This record gives sequence, structure tokens and C-alpha cells, in this order.
Amino acid sequence: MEIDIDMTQFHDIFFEEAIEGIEIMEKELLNLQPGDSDSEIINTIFRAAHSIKGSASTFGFEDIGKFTHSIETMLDKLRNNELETTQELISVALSAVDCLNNMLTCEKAGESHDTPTITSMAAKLDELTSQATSDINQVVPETDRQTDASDRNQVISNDDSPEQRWKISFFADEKLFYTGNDPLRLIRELQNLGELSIEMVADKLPDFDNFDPHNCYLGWHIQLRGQVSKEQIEEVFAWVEGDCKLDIINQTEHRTTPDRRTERTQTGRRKTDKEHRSIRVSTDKLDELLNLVGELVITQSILSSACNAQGLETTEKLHECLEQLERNTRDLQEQTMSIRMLPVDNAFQRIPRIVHDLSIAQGKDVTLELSGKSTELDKTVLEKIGDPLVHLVRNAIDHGIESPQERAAAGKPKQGVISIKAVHEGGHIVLRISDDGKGIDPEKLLANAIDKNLVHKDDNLSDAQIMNLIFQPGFSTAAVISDISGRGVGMDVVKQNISDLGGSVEIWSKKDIGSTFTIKLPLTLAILDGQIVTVSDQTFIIPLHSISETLVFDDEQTNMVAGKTELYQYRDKYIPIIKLHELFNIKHKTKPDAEVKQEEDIKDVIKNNRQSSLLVVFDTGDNLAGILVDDVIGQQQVVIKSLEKNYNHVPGVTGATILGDGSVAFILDLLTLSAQHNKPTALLNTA
Amino acid sequence: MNTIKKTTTKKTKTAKKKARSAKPVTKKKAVKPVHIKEQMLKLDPVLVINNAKSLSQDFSLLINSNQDINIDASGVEMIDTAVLQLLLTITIKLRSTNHKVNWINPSAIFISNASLLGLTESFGLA
Repeated sequence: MEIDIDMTQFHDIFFEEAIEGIEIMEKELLNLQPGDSDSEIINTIFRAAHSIKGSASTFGFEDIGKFTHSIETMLDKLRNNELETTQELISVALSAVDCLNNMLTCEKAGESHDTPTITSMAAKLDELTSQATSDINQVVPETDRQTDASDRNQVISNDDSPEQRWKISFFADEKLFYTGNDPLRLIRELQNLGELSIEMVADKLPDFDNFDPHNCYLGWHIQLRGQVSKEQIEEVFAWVEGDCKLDIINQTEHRTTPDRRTERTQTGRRKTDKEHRSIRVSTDKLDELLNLVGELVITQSILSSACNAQGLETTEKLHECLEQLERNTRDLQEQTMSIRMLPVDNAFQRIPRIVHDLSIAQGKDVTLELSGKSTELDKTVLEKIGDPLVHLVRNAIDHGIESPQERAAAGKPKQGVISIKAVHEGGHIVLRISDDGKGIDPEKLLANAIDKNLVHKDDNLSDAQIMNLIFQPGFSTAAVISDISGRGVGMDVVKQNISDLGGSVEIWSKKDIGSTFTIKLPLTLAILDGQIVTVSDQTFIIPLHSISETLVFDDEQTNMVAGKTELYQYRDKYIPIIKLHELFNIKHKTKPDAEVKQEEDIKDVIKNNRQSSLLVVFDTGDNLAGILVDDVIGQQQVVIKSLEKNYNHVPGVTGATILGDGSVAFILDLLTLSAQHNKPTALLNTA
Repeated sequence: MNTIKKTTTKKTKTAKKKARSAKPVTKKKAVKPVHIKEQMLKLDPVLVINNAKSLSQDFSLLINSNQDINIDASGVEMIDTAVLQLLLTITIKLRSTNHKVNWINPSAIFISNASLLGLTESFGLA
């Protein structure tokens, strides 16, 4: 009789863990320099590969296990000083990691592997491994009697680190076997770290008559001695985190209760930061939670409005309770939203590899400086900022940083610097991508733009306006079109992607000095600080961060262009007037007792309304425009609801929210409105 | 459910390959794990969780025979925690009825794995 364990239910966890392992391998390989023999780096890479291999085999991904075994064998030779760290070895290892990543992607998608590439890569690894020479001076203790040489997870002794004595208490959950894990494998890996003394605990082992062989009843107290760090021990148990009770106590320092980890009930993720415990939670669950909290905020707002309307604010106790509810709701909302916040480091992870590969490919010497990696922003924003970031870095290497010879001739250090900084500034996250390359020549840029008919030669453009031309579609200054950049496709997309996130991008550049791109992004896409405005009996929300000014509308300041577009003289500029009445077909508000029968009367109403209107001037980064509104109600943080999910897409509107009085208000899409200001009827027709 | 036969053909297959702990235990095809001749049991080379239920049922009949049990573990090439735990339960059960398990030539793998789990003393192999 076989037990029937559906291993596919664990595949998602395997893939996530394996991807994390690959990220570790790639990151550490990039830290490895030719001639380097940093045992800690090599061991970290080895451990990641070893974990992937072990779990791949456990979950039946034999091809992945076999390929990772080849990588592991090479790494084993490397850490035993039988192979030398060369640039070739690092490059082959990085390519192998890419190959492994592709295998995982294919496996996850249920697609077949790229067998020729895998075979070719495995052959390269084997060829490198075969070049290994035994170093008789290197003593690597053989502790594993069952596994082959590459299975040894032996950590090469570091003379500087003192021997540690660890007491590990490991009590498996009853259903541990169902996860495909075997305590034997874990203890064997511990054995590879140092000297073990094992005491089995069978307190929970039932009588034979009540014994279920599919359950795990045993526990172990394990003494481990060796030059072993706590992270190494945690790494061994990473796969059973959440499926066991685990205590790791350092007895070397005679501490009694250091970092006691007990009663984990969730399947956890590998800890990358030992100061923070974490669990793996589906983003769908988080989104649902966030949605519910949003509903709570709305309900609280409705309750508050209702009480005020009834004059209940005079009831002191009720008023206090409402204030408390408001505080609690806001705290809950902030806390819930913080769950979705991730360090920006996640978006930075691809960058070192790109800098490494491109600088080698182009014969440039580039160093990368990353700062503010722990700065947090919303997961959705984080996922979407990755590509623009990569594009800017690729451009910096391709167009910005000069060759070592050019830099030397210009009196610069041979090594160019690309720096990426992330900081929080006023409710936004700001990313600054700088390089100390040759910068952008404004004259060349302008000449190029004139050639492409993007601007007229008589246009009097400021330096900033000239620099912003690079965001125009189809624009490129690259003399030679390369595989990396220079096709004129990209910077406009970068800007569009950032704009889609509600952010902005600015450029600063100086010839021979370098360039800096500043990306400003909202911390989250779930809530918005908005200005509540009314047009007739309709309420709209205008994103507060884009509003420059609100003016009393003056009809004398308007001009018509080609009899269609109405412009408003705003200081020294003419800005388009966006009329929501026309865009959304809203009837003008009339006084209740007014009898409007004649066309002349309607015109009068419109005229009177305009004279008492306000103009909300906003700046999208590219353009200024003004929205004509009847009244400004106030500012409020609103919960963004998707119109597409709940109704239909409405052009000119990014979403909706529910106000305190229970009414629905549209959140205006300022970018679209600004872009479409010359043809408002188009919006009306497509709405 | 496995049926106990008093005499069966003894397997002649010998261990050729090293057992690997990372091998997927659930991939192993379930085979009849025990061959019994009188009160002597010979364990099969591969003993993993897939065999545990069947093995447990076979042992339940033997335990009721109220005798010591001789277990030939000489051919064991792979054995996991689930099966070693089962053998521990059997050992304890027999001990409670003043009987015991006699281990016949346990293989290096068997001893090694039992040792790693801290079971050698309970098995009387220390």
C-alpha cells in the first residue's frame, strides 16, 4: 500500500525557494573577483546550489537536480582550492545560473527544457571541473560516509572564527513526511558542518497499535561543535521552517535564551534578515485584506458623516468613540498597507549582473554603488519599476560611461561609477540613477531633435526642455545603434511606465560630467491624497500631488484657439482648460427656482457658472493644464477602487472612490486629460 | 495489504550503488519489503516511507507470534526516518512483552542512518 502524497502542492514553494537560491548564487558570484578565494562567498554559493539540488530531487525535478549537481561539483572543486577563481569561471558559473533559472521557468510553465543549451552548459561545467587539480595542502574533513564528494556541505575552516557549541532542539511536526522532508537528510547536513552528538526523543511515539507510519513522532536534541554560524544551521532547516519546532542555542557564549524560535505554524520563507521573521503570504490574500480595510475606512467615514448630519457630534461619548474608531482605522490601514511594502533592494537585484555583463561586453570598467536598499515601497510599484531602472542603467553604460582610454584622456579615473540611490522624500520614494560619464551634449541633442522634426530650429528651448527631448518617442542620440540601446525605443517607454505608476522622471546632465535621472514614485497605489471638487452635482477627485494652484476663474483671461480649444492665460503661459461638463456630459447646475426655457437663458447659466468657477491648475511634468470646477470641497485621503473591475474603463478616469456620504467619486486621470486636451470630444465619444 | 508468506524466494540482488539521501522517496515504487522465513526477516535494500505501511502490517503479524524477531538488515542500501521510526516502535513493543529484536549483520548504511537519528542505543546496536 502506497501513501498518496500530492507533491505538486509544494511545487510553488519549491519554485519560490529555488528562485531565491538562484538570486543568492548570482549575487555572490558577482561579489567574487578573479583570484579571489573568499571561502564565505564560495560556501554561500555552494549552499544555495546544494539546497536547490536537494529539493529539486525531492520534488521530482530530476533534470534540475542533475544540472545543479554539475554546478555544485564545480563549486566544490573551487572551495577545495582545486580550481582557481578566474573571470572565465565566474562567467561560466553565471551562465550556468541563468541556464538553471531558465530550467526553473520552463518547469514552472510546464514547458520542455532547452536541452541543447543545457547540454552545452553542462559540458562547459564538466570541462572546467576536469581542470581541477588536487591540492594536497588543503585538508577537507570527510564526514559524510554516504554521499559523494560534491554532497559534502563542509565549510572550509576559517582560522579567524572560533569554534562554536550549538544546542539544537528539533521536533518535527507529525505531518513533516507529507512535505517530502526527511529529518535524516537534515541531520546529515548538520553532520557536514561539524561534530555531532545526537539524542533522540521519543516521548510522542505511540504504541505500535496506534502507530501511523506516515507520521513523524520523533524529536532530537543535537549538540553541534565546529566553526559554524547560526545562519548555516538555519540554512539547513530552512526547508522545514514552519513544519517543526526548532530551538538553536549558542552554548559557547553561555546564553540561556538567545533567539528562541518556537511554535511556527505557517510555512515560512527563508530568512534573509535574521532580525525579521517573515512568512510567505499570497498577494491575493493581501489585496483582499487591503480591500476589506478600505471598506472599513469608507464605513467609518460614512458613519462619521451620518452622525454629523444628525447633530450627534454633541454627544460627547459618541464623538470620542468616533475619533477612536478613526484612529484605529487609520492605524489598521497603514499597518495593512505596510504588509505590501518591500525593500527596493528587490528591484536592484538585477542591476549588478547587468553592469557586470555589459561592462565586460563593452570593454568598460564600471563600478556600481547602491544605497538606500532597505527603502520600502509597494510591491506593485516595485515590480513595475524594475524594467525602467534596468533601461536607465543599460543606457548609462552604453552612452554614458566612456572607455578606460577615453576616461584617461579626459583626466577621469579609468573606472566609471554608476550610482543608484533610493530615499523617501515627502511621501514619495525617489530613485536617483547617476553616472560620471560623458553626459549629454545639449547642442547635439537639439540638432538631432531638429533633424527629426521634433522641434523647430527657431524654437527657443531652455536646457531643461532640450534635455527632456530624450523622452520623445523615436528619439535617440546614439551614433551607432547597438544591441543595448540607441534604437530610439526606450526612454519614452521609461517615462510612460513611470507615469503609469503616478510618478515622474527628470533628467539632469552636463557634458563631460555625467547624468542623473531622478524618478519620483508614490509609495503605494492603494490610497491617494486627493482634492475633492464638484462640477454641477458630480464629485471628482484630483490627485493632490499634481495640483499647482487653484484660482478664481477669470473669463477675461481666456482665448480660443482655432475656435475649438479654449486656453487660459496662466502667468506667462497659455494653458488648456479642461471642462468636465463637456467631457462627461454633465448638465449645468441651475437654481431650484429658476425656469430655464430659452437658449439665451442656458447661455446665461453657463456664463454665470463660469464666473463663479474655480480653475485647478495641475502639472503632469510635461504640461500644465487647468480643470474648470464649480467648487473645491476639501482634501481627503481616498481609497482607490478599480473602475475596470467594478464597472467599465472610463477614459480620463483612473479609478473611483466612495466618499463619506456614500456617493461614488471619479478620480481623474490627469495624464490622459492633459494629453487629450485638444480633442475633448474624442473622450466624450469613447466614454 | 501485504500478505505474509512463510517462505519466499530470497532476493539475490546486491548493493551496487550508494544510497543517496536526496533521492525522491515518493518516486520509489512500492515493493514487498520483507521476506520471512520462520521468525527471520530479511529487509529489502530500499526501505522508504512508501513501504512503511506495508512493512508495518507485516510486522503486526509477527509481533503477535510472541517471539523474538531476527531482522536481517545486511542488504539495506537505503532507509529513511519513517522506516527507522517504525523499527523503533517494533523494538519498543517487543521489549514491553519481554522479547527483543536481534539484528543480523546490519549494513553500514543501516547503522549510519540509525546512528544519525540517535537510534543505535534503542536498537541495541551501540
